[in-house]
Amino acid sequence: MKTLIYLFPLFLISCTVTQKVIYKTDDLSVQPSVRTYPIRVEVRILTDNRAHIDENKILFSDPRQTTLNGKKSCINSEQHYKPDSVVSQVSRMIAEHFNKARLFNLSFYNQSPYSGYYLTGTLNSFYGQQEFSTGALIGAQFGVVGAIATSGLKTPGKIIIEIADMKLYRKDGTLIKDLGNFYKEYEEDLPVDASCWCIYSNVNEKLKDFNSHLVEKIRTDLADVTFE
Amino acid sequence: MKRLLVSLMVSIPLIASSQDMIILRNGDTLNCTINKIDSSSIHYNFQKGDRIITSFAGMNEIRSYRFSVLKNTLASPGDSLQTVSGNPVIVDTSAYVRSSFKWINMITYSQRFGLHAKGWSVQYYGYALKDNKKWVIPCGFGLESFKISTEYFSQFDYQSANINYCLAGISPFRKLFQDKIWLNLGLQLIIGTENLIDFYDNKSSNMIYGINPSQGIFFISESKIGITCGFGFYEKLMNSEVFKNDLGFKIELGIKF
Repeated sequence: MKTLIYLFPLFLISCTVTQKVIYKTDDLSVQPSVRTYPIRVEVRILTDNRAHIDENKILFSDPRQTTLNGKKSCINSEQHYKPDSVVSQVSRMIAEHFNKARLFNLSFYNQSPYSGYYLTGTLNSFYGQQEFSTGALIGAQFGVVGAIATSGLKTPGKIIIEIADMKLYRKDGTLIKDLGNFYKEYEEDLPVDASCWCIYSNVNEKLKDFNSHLVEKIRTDLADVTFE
Repeated sequence: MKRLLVSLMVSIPLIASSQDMIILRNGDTLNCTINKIDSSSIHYNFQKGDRIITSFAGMNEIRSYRFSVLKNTLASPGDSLQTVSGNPVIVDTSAYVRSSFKWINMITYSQRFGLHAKGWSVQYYGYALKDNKKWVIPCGFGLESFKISTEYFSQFDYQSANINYCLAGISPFRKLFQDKIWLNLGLQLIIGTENLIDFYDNKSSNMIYGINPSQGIFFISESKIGITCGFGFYEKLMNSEVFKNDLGFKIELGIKF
């Protein structure tokens, strides 16, 4: 009985694991020759449109381990993100990435009195799926050693990230540039684990790549804009 | 009407081919408008329904790309958007594949069945696995123990022998299939001593040397930690008084970490 009392709170803790949209930005390198736009920009929290796109609906309805096209699969189910936080977390990472990549003089997450411009957009997709690994499941049955032994396993996966209707405005509401829609579909083998937690880190890693290319896109798109 | 049809027939292929094209290594073809090329990726626009969407593909994903019209767009340093219409640009993907190093450790136990001696061996192999190289040359050391068969030993005029030697050499692996199946070719020099006692209780000690080639096939798990197993043949040629040569079969089992 004593054991049960001690174990019960642990069990509860394990059931309330919250996944974050986060990745390391320390390793993002910037070439000295890159152009930095001399403005301070707010990255406003993206509008969340994911639930209105059919492909994303499974993220809102199913747990992280589910069946897709008849195959046992892992998805980045919304259940494990803090409610209504994905867009704010993605926006925060975009602002951080912009700063590391020196796209603008300074980027702020959401709103700041020190900015002269703001960027808006709509998150259409932040979708990740990959095949479940029976090998990882078997490995997990052998405890830590088994889990480590199968830690290199990968399964085919698909990650789609799309930010639509990106627009850069001056603080007075003047549209400076319509940056359009930015989309990437990654289809490759992704690291997998027995508990379907890896899909969350896989999506985060692809967001990092996506944001690196988003920086390049914005840098190119703003090349013909003169900032006062 | 006829003129209209003819002009339509002429213009449709022109319209259809007025897009740039990217052919991916997985065989997919993207009809798109290329708007930026840099050293690592191509950014392009494509139409999805009534929306124009920008996306990108890494150079390591792309087999070739082709412009439909002469491009001469403002290019950033390292960008190249100028090319002659219609000429495909073949991407040398190997230039974009980063070689990666992984240090691999393996400890194996092998059971050895020779014509003249049976025994076991414990080996350590350590090597840097480069994903773009077919050969790896491990460093390693090992311990082995043999019992010479009585039938073979009886042809010599000794009642007992104690042989100690060490092996020095190379044991390279060649990738045969993915990173899993490997050919192992070893050539080691044998240097040691043997202490012999003859039937008159005379003791003698000799320096021994020889060679120990081996050939085998290994399965090495691709996981960070996993199993490895293999089988193969070995040969021994020595100047020993009581163990001059051997030919044997070995099976090997171990862990990779």
